[in-house]
Amino acid sequence: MRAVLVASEAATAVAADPQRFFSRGRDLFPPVAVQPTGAVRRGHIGSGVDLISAIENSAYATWVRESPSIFAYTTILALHAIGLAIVVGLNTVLALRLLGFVKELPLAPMRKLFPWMYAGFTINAFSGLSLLAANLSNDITNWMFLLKLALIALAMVNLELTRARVFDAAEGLVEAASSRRARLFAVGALVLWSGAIVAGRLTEYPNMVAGWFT
Amino acid sequence: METLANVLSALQIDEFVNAYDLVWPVCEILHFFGMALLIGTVGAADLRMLGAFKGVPIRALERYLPLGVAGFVINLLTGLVFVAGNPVGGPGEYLTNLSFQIKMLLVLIAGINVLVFYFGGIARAADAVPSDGDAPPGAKLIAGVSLVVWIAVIFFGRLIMYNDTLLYALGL
Repeated sequence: MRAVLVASEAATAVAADPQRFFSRGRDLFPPVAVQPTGAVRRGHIGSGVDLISAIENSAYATWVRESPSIFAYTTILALHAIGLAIVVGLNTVLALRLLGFVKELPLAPMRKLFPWMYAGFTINAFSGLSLLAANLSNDITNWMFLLKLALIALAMVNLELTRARVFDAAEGLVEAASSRRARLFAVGALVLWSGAIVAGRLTEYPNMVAGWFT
Repeated sequence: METLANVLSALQIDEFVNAYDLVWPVCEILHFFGMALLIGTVGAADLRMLGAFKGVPIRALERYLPLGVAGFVINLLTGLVFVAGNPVGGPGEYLTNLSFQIKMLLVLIAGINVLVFYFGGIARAADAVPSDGDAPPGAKLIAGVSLVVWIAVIFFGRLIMYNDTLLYALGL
């Protein structure tokens, strides 16, 4: 449906060499060949296939994927970037403070960052589930996507550990913040979120990634 | 607009993009890193001026802003690769894209907002606010504009690729 308004020269270029453009992933500009097709690949995950296609073909998933409304795929995708910026951006500031950058920033009130980071994560959990439902059969067989999920899970566990073992530490915040453990959590946040962004972007280039391993 | 498209094409960044499959995704990854750095640092300062995180001195949060500027520069450079090196349709596809035009206008507004903050004496007033204190109304206005505009920059940035849904919404 979305392919209707695509520039004709782009369509010609893609028709001439589709593999090249598909291999660049869904985000190649302009959106011609890069929309999720909605085609359901059947038969490769055994008994889960019916459930997968049921979710992917549900009214909601179909609306997300195929509605021309700005509030469908487009807004949900934008929310996913906004939530990312909030949780990753604020966790980066927190991590840098724990690594000793800008020491005049008092630690105790930085605990107030946590609800904002959880809010960013919540936006992305909901927007991410919507995008996943819309493209389920492709995403769950895309191992960059699975790697991204694993890295996000670890980053959130790391964030919770930072709260529990640094900000709410039994020995007190000041002592916990100068421990090796606090620096480990800080480095962990930077590494895990960076990895999640890299894996998330590469999720859109399954053919290129597959090419590295063949 | 056509002249600008020609100037950008003359940079021949598309040859670089076409030569290596990794250029585009790596620039995308860096663009996301830059976005997170910019929103994390600028957003934290904005939220503090709007009254969140009381107890944190505004002046201390401002010391993270060079990192936000670094994020902005990363995004300016990687953004140039996207526009000038667009392999399908060239720079013109971006320059005539309504979502892209709105995004650039919003970036300009955010830039003017920063200049007003630093050269309008508002930063000095905000720096003098005690850790637990309320930012002056001028600083709150600047912070509110900054937050809304940067979020909108992300929104319209994501919309570039799905510009047809914007045109559809506007009945164009």
